[in-house]
Formats: sequence, structure tokens, C-alpha cells
Amino acid sequence: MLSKTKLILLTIFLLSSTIKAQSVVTQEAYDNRFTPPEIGLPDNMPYIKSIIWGKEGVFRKLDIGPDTRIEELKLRREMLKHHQWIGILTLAGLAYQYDVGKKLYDGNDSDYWDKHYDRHKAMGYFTYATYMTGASLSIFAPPARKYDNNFSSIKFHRTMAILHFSAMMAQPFLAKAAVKDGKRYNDLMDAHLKAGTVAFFALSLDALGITFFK
Amino acid sequence: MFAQGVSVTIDLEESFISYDGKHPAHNWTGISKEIKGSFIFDQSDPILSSVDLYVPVFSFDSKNSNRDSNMLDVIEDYFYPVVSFSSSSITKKENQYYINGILFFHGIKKEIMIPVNFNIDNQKIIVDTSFSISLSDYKIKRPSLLTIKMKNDVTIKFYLVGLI
Repeated sequence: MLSKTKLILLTIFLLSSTIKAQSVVTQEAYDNRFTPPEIGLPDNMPYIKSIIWGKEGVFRKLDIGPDTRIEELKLRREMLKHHQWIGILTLAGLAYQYDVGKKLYDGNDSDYWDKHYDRHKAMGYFTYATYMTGASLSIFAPPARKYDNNFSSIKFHRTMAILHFSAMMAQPFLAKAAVKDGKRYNDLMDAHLKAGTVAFFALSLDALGITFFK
Repeated sequence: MFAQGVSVTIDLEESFISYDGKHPAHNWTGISKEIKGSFIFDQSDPILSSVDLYVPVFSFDSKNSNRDSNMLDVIEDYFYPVVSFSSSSITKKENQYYINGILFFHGIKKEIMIPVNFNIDNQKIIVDTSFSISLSDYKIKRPSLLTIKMKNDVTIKFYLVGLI
């Protein structure tokens, strides 16, 4: 009796496995195949995105943003296009900024210092502003259609972003603290240079990764 | 005496449709296994067969959700949720079969001719093909990376395993 039950259960299991692997399309699904579906929010949204754009997100509560999900996706696309452009501009600015900053830190040439210090400072404001604008365009962009956990160029981009964002945040504060605190000037300038090095190389590696990785 | 076509049940475990996207910096492949629709196969005379298949574009997976999301944006899946192909006729020239039909993609219908191979093995039929389409033909704005657009031509590969 028991073996008969087992046999029935096994048959049901095997049949259901076969059915799962086949294409079964209902007439209704077939007729409605060209009907656009309702586009909702994606699964697995990153934590920051869900805080801002989730069903109970801050922007929903404050009624900020477009009225429809389709408009949100169009807005996202525009924001990310600008994010790319501003990223290129920031990287170019940081390359110059890093070069000048390193020479100011290493050199004893007072002429070079006089000519470049103010420029380094002004470029610092510029790259900080472009970096934060670019980062905001990505952080505040409406959520994408899909999110997954695969290791890909976008995962690499997000991981590197934690590194260069932290370094970019720290840089101006370290420079200001060094100017104010004469006793710890050398230590703080060391830290400022290290933060600049991390920011520049992490952003460079990030740009290479997003371009050449799949 | 007329030949009789049989409805083929698509084996979704083994069947797939893929596209190969190309950019000067890197290439990628997006795959979907959600092939739906009908396939009537006439074993005695394959040119009497017919297909009417469709695939939800959301189902294509390139193992990079950001790229998949960009792809869905440019092909506007919220207006055109599927890509479909309906055959109008099948011809045979020098041992090669060609399916003529309408490819419906991004809201645009285009008549195309696809070279296909039919292989029958016991109760299984395997249909495979590879062909190219131009994104501009379907009025798709090509996405760009660092200001460089992806290539206009996309290779479509189709591998269908059916149970007769």
C-alpha cells in the first residue's frame, strides 16, 4: 500500500516537473501579449533607493517626482546621461588636481607654490562640486527596472563609489583642518594627499571598470 | 492526401533566444528562455510548417541588471512588451530552409527572411538560426557609454527544442 502511494506521488512529481519545463500559454495571455503591463517598482532595490523611492520612500511622502512610473524611467535615463558626462569632467579635473596637489606637497619651489596654490584650491571647489552633483544625479535618480546580485560592471561601480565618495567627502575637511591646525599641519596634509590619491585612483579604476567590464 | 502538421510543445529548459550587443569597449549577450506562442510542424514537408512566437522583452538577462534596464528603456517595453515573429511562408533553397515572416519589435513590423535548420531526433525537433537586425530599422535609439554608441547591428540567435 505504501509503495503504491509512493508511486503515485512520484508520478505526480514527475508530471509536474515536465509541465513546468514546457511552454503553456493561455489564450488570454496570447491575445493580450501586446498589451503593455503595469510597470511597478523593481524587486531587490538597493537600500538607499528604497529609502528615497520605495513605496513608503521620502520622495513619495513629500510628493516629489513625476506622476507616472514611465516618466520616472525617462527622468532616470536623463539623470544618468548627465551623471556620465559629469563623471568624465570630474575625472579630468581630479587628474589635474592630483598632479598639482602632489607637486605642491612634494616641492620646495616657492614660485610654483605661489602660482599654483590658489589654482589648486579653486579646482578643489570645482571638482568637489562636480563630483557631488554627479553623485547626486545617481543617488537621487528614480529606480531602474531591474536589480540583481550578479557581479558585473555596475556592481563594481557601486563598490568603488563607496571608496571614492568617502575620500572625496574627507578631502576638503582635511585641507581646511590642516590650514587651521598648525601643530598637526603635516599629519593632516599627509591624510589630505592620501584621500586625494584614493579618490583619483578609485575613480579612474571605476571608469575603466564600467567601460571595459561586462 | 494532405500532410498534417502537429503542434510542437516548446521545451523551455533547453530552448533560448539571445541577442549579441556590441560596443567598442565590450560585447555582451542577453538571453531569454521565455519563448511563448505556437509552432506547427509538418514532419513530412517542413515548408508547410508555421510559427507564431513571442518573447517578453523584460525576460532578457545579460547578467547586468543596469544594462538590462537601459535596454528596456531604449526599446520602451512599457509600450511594446514583447518581440514577436509570425511566419508567412517557408521556402527551401539548396538544402537550406528559410522562414519568411513578420518581426514585430519596438512597435515596428518588418518582413524578414530567416535561414533555419530543422533537426529531428526521435520525438524532438531542434530549430536553430542566427541572423542580424539593425536597431535603426526598428527606430531604437542606441544607448551610449562614455559618449560612444553601441553598434547598430545586433545578432539574434534562436535555439528551439520542441516535443512533437
